[in-house]
Amino acid sequence: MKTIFTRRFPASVKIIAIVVLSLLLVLSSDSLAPARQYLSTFFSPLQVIASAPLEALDNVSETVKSRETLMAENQKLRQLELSISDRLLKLEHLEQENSRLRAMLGSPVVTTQRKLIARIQSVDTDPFRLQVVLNKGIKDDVFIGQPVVDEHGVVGQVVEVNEFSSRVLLIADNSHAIPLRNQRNDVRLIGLGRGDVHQMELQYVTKNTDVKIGDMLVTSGLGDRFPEGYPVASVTGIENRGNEIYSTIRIRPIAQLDRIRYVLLLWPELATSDASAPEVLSQ
Amino acid sequence: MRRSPFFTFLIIWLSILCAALLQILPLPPLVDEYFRPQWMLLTAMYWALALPNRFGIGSAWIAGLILDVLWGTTLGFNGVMFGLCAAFMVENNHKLRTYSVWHQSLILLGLVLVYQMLFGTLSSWLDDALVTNSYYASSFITLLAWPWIFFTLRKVRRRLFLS
Repeated sequence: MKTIFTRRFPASVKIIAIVVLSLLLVLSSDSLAPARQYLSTFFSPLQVIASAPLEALDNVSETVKSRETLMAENQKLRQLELSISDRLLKLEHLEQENSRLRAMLGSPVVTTQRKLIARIQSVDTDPFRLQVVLNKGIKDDVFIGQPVVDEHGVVGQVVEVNEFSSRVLLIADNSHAIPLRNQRNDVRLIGLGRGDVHQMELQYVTKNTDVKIGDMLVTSGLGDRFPEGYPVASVTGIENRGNEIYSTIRIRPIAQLDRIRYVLLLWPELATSDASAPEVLSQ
Repeated sequence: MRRSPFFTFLIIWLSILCAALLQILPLPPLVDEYFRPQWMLLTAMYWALALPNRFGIGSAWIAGLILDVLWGTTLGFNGVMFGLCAAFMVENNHKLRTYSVWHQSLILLGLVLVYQMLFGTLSSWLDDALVTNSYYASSFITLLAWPWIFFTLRKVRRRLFLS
């Protein structure tokens, strides 16, 4: 029988020990990534169990859809497919031409040869982070820093990966910045997250820079993380204060960051001369 | 009836894992923002109060690290906070145990507020996080959650003769 009074260490020693240990963990958080990977793999069943009820509910609502709804949906998707494949035909031609011209200039373009559809696991995360958990991990070759997009635009990048799932930091997170280019005039900009899924900011834009409301901003490909040309945000508000050098520019992410369910993981690669059609792997 | 320490250990950590499950369970945004108690912290605090010789500062630290892994927080933030909260519970054990449950939940509310403030401060200093005021509003659900957790876990503890 042990009593309350048989403590091996006094509390003060324990408190100092955990504070020091935690400090060491925080300071070495970058080099602890592999350990973290194993830990989160170990606890990933919890995430699967936690997200199971909602996914079951989703499946139920999918099965009880009426025949008419399904037919209407089917029709709409067919029309959409037709219009998309028409645009794709033109695009492929342009892409080949572009890469040939680029090759002549000696500046090969970064393309994405491989894509993978992933599903958002609905689990709660850090209250201060805008991040989501995907159901693809190391076993699908997901890597840290990998760009993630949805059907509208860029969503974010992978910041943590384990065997079965991965964590994506959204572009609107307070600690995220993304190199951008204005589609209208090729001005390079930096899009800064502000912790709000509906609004981001452009940093260090001088007052005389040519930015207008409604401008479409795409990834610039600088920084070697996001491939070039994916839409990110549109400009929604410009504010010039009297004595400041920079103007405050608000932008709105194109991707619907608060209601994403499926996303696309990209594997950017340098284009080779025999550019084959990108293959989309289904989940 | 006397249980082996290992059995007690098992039940304690099983309850911590159940709390972890409740902590990351997806909820509608509004409920998530205001009505999600700090399940893991409160469960850890219960064990630090009831069985301080089985679940102390070090165990609470490990429970906090588990939450760090599940949340995707920098490893150590929740760990150190859980450990410090458990230290408060263990040190004031004899006093706290004599209080009524409602009195305890008021004290736990204070503890959760301190936890949230320090966690928020840590995150915004070291992690560039953006702390909003609505974050603190979620602490008041502790007043309802603590009695529930307390009675449930006490029932578990008494039924299974954990000591």
